[in-house]
Amino acid sequence: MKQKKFKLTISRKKSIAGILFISPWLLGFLGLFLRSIISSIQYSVCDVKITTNGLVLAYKGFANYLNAFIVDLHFVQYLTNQISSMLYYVPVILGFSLFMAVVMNAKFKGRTFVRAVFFLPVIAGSGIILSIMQGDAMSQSIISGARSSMLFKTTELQLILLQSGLRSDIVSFIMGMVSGIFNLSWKSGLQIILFIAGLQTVPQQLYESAHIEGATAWEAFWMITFPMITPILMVSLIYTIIDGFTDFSNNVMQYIQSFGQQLNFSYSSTLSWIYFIIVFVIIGIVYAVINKKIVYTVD
Amino acid sequence: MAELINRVNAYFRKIYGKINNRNDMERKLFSKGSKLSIRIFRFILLSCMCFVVLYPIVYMVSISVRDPRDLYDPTIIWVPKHWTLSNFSTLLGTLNYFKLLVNTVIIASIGTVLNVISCSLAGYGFAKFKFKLRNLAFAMVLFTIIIPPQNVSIPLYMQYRQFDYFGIGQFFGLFIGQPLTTNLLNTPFTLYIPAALGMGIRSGLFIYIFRQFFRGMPKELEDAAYIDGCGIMKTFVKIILPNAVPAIVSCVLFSFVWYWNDFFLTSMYFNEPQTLSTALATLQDTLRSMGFDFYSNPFIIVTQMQAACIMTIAPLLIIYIFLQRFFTESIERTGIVG
Repeated sequence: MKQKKFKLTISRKKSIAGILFISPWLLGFLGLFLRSIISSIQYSVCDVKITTNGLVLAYKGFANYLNAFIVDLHFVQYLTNQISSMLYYVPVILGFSLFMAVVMNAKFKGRTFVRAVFFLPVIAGSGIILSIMQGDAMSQSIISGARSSMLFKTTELQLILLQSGLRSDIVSFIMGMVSGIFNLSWKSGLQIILFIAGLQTVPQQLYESAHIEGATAWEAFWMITFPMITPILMVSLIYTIIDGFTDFSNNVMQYIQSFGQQLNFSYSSTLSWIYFIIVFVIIGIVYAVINKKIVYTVD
Repeated sequence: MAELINRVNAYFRKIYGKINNRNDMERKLFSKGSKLSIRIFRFILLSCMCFVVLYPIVYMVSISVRDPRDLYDPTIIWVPKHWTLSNFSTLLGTLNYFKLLVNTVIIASIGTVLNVISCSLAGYGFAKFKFKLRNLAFAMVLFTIIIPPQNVSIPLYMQYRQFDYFGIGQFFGLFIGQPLTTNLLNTPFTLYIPAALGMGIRSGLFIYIFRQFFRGMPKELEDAAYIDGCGIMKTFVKIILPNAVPAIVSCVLFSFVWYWNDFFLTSMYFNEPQTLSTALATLQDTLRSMGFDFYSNPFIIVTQMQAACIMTIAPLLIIYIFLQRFFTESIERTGIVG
């Protein structure tokens, strides 16, 4: 009888296994991440002064949080602008990268080359290379005036179009398209690779049977590819939202950073916490709305 | 009579055969035409896109192979008049290139391996097992992606300076008299420990990617393995992981690139430049200390910086070309139908 008491049911055993699987992450989350964000939250509710002994904190309550909404003129404005620009930024990036991934997933000559090219934005679009490229754009203009700089200045093309006699509003429309395509292809490197990896896991038998049943490629895409790829679409969606919001070049992040550079750590961490919690809530809403529509082949 | 019927049959067979053949021909022609138009469309689209992506890189290459005096020649836009590789050869010494290259490869590979192992474990745990507070824990995974590393860097720095092994050191301190701590700064453990605990560079994203891939795998796979007597861990290593090759490859790629390009964490935790990216970030200061000021020698600085960029990303591209084979090879599906 006693032995039976200690015997674990299968579901209990599995839940313990699950916790064991996530235990490294859990340790890191509690030991490294949570400890760090707690002290970051501390900064936001305290006056932070830098002395020779290091940082000195003096509790002052949630005044900063109120100030961000009541006194601060710019923060709420930047925030709403950022959120509304995300409304078209995210679908455009996702649509473009899914389209490119489908195109590149087919077999054709030079596929290796094209895929290597589209990996370049992932390599060069992060970290120091990008900032050197942008910095060089600046130093170039110092050296030789309007020489074409690193980040695809389209002034030459604009001149050519204007001189060829096109109306200026049409030219500005075309220029907007061109620079938009440039930004698009440099922002969607990661999503394209994720989608290609996702497309690889769609079983080929599905396409074969659809072909025999007489489905066109268009139907096959919407009936097979799209549903099968929704789990990856979800990751890309969440990543695109986060990447757009936490990109250091956007207005809100720059505004937050500007306080950090003025050594006003208290207010900058207040703003960043408000911002991250808003982003988190947005992601929660998106996740809750879309997660039901995702097709997992099993459960 | 019988002969007539035979002839009529033969006649009809001939006609129908022709019609059928023509239909076949037409179908073939049509599909050939549409295939051709798809190919032309794909060619135009991809070459435009490649142009857009390659433009800055080609420009970078073009700057890096020219003599500094070609920079202020207004007749030169793309093709330099004075070709030179001296930018690269001087950088080999300035950057201490080969030593840093080996160092970067070591740091990026160990970081990536630890990161991918911890993230795939966590992703599997979140995908296939039910336990209390699972959804809350997963929400926290998403939360870790949102917070940029810059935001938690100062508290983490303090923690690594006196690393107490997650409180165990404090516990020992009760007996020894002073807490057991180690200074981890200037050691690569400042990068490896978070990577092994799923807190490396954008680990949350990798956990999410793995979870989505694992969730798409049929349950029958695991059940079959369990029935055959595999334990949970063995099932994961022998059955699940081999079926998740695209996920593993993409996570390895991203993780490697991000560790390679990272200069925030490495310059925060190390006093001396340890990786190529950190050396690249401080290259302008290095050159200044060698007597090349930006205002007195702007052309040398610009060509050297561009050449250094090329030297930093070239190894990554070579690795990618080798690894991307795994994307194109069709992944063998398991024997389970349905």
